[in-house]
Amino acid sequence: MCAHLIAIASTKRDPAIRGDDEESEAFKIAICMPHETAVKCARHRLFVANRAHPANLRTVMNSVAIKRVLLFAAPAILLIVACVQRYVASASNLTSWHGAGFGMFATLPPFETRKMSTILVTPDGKEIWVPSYQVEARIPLGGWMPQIHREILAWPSESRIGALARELAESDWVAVPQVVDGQPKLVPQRKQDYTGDPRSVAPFPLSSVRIEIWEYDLDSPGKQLVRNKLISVAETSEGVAHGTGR
Amino acid sequence: MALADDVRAEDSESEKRRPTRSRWKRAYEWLLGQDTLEVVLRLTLLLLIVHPTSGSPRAWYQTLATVSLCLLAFVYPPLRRNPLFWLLLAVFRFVCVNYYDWAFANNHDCLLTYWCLALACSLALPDSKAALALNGRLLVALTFLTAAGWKLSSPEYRDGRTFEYMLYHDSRFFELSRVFADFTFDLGERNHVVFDQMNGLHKTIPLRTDRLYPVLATILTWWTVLIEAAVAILFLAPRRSQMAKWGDVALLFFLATTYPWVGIYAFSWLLGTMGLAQCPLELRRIRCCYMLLPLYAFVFSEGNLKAFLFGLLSS
Repeated sequence: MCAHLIAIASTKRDPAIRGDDEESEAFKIAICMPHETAVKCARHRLFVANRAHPANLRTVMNSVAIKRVLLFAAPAILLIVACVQRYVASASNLTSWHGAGFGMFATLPPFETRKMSTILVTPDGKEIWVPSYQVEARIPLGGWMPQIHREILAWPSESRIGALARELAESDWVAVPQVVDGQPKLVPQRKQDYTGDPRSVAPFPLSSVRIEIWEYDLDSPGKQLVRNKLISVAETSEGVAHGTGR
Repeated sequence: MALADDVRAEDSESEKRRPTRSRWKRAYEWLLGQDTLEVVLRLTLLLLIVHPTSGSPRAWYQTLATVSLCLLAFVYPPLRRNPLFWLLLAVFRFVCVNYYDWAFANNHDCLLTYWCLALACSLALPDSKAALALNGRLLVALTFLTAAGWKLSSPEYRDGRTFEYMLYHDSRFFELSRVFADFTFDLGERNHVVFDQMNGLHKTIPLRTDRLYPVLATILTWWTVLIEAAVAILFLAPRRSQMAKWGDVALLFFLATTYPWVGIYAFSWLLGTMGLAQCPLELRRIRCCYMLLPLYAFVFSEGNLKAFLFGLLSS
């Protein structure tokens, strides 16, 4: 009897069956139906109600707003990221080739045209250029171009270059005797990278480390490549930084 | 008598030829009879298997995870039909490739991530095919639109410097240079020695050039931006318009003549798969071309076909 009443009540409440008029055909049928049928009807209605519950995934996917989000999510992300990349590239030194802006071939390739120069400055103001492979040697990953070097060239920012310069400035350096161009010279090398006996070499006095990023541009009429400075950051071992650039 | 023999010989020859022709026809019909959604899913999985990472030196874990997941989905159809599988792949690629290895990730690596997300979203919707078609269309259009926009807004692209530099320096363009301009291996090697001097210490570096290079660079510059803009506009046009049909032709032409020639087969494969997803069933030949494009791009780019063709052209 209880189920019969529930069936009648749910039929009465449900606008989909009842319609606007309480005296609809479904309502009349529910009133007149025998008890067993009413129980079955109640169970069916419960099943339908559960299926239509908002927690059900299918119902959620059927909602118009969610449909729109799912339909346009990927293209919208593509467009937003590309616009942000274009803005950041115009405001800083980010290359067009990376950062999902689809700017391949729009500018000169960064890893061939951008070069990093590392300069050690001694307390007496003397500047010594360090070959890039020595700087790259700090990255234990190997490969054809270590991650940090690649990131610096693709997006030379003051913070990224400053972190590398600080690490180099805080390292201990030694003066290693080597023959360069037939002349005996003392070449600075990081103590941790030096494979010989560290007691046999003198420490290299260091005031600061300066890292410069240069970009070569094609001067087509002049048939030459011309160097332009993108950014320069200097760090002392005490961590006082000063940089120039965009 | 002789005439009868000739007729008999012709008949037997045509009988021999007929099975071959009908075999091709059957293969063509079989290809077109495939479910587009299923082909798109399989092509994407295959691309992820042959091109799982951005090439970062520490990408072994990306390769391992991506290849094993994709192989599993390739042999187990319910998995590749599951939106959560594609969502997992998309999130994994967003974190590992697009974000963490951004300096290694090329544009097609990022686009492949978006495509995985598009597959996840489309498969979650009731009408997956229509949703995927819309996503494919929009992703192709926006990719070409942003690419053309970047190029047009870059002064060094507009004055032809970028392509001129690539012709001098990029070994992928040497073959093209040899065909159209007087570029021998000596000149290429000499310029490579010059480029080795680009260490930040030299203020200027003299370059050996050819008078045809600026002309070739200008042609490449404007041809590229013109076809990219055309594809973007045609793909953004309403599907029912006459213009829309030409979008597929322009995209196929671009994909067949650009990326495989410079060794970027993955971009061609991916854009071809997107093109297939949005291609209507009635465009049978174009659908067939889209289906065969990945194979062409891979063989052309990775095989010796390119070197063979350039050898023929330069001789």
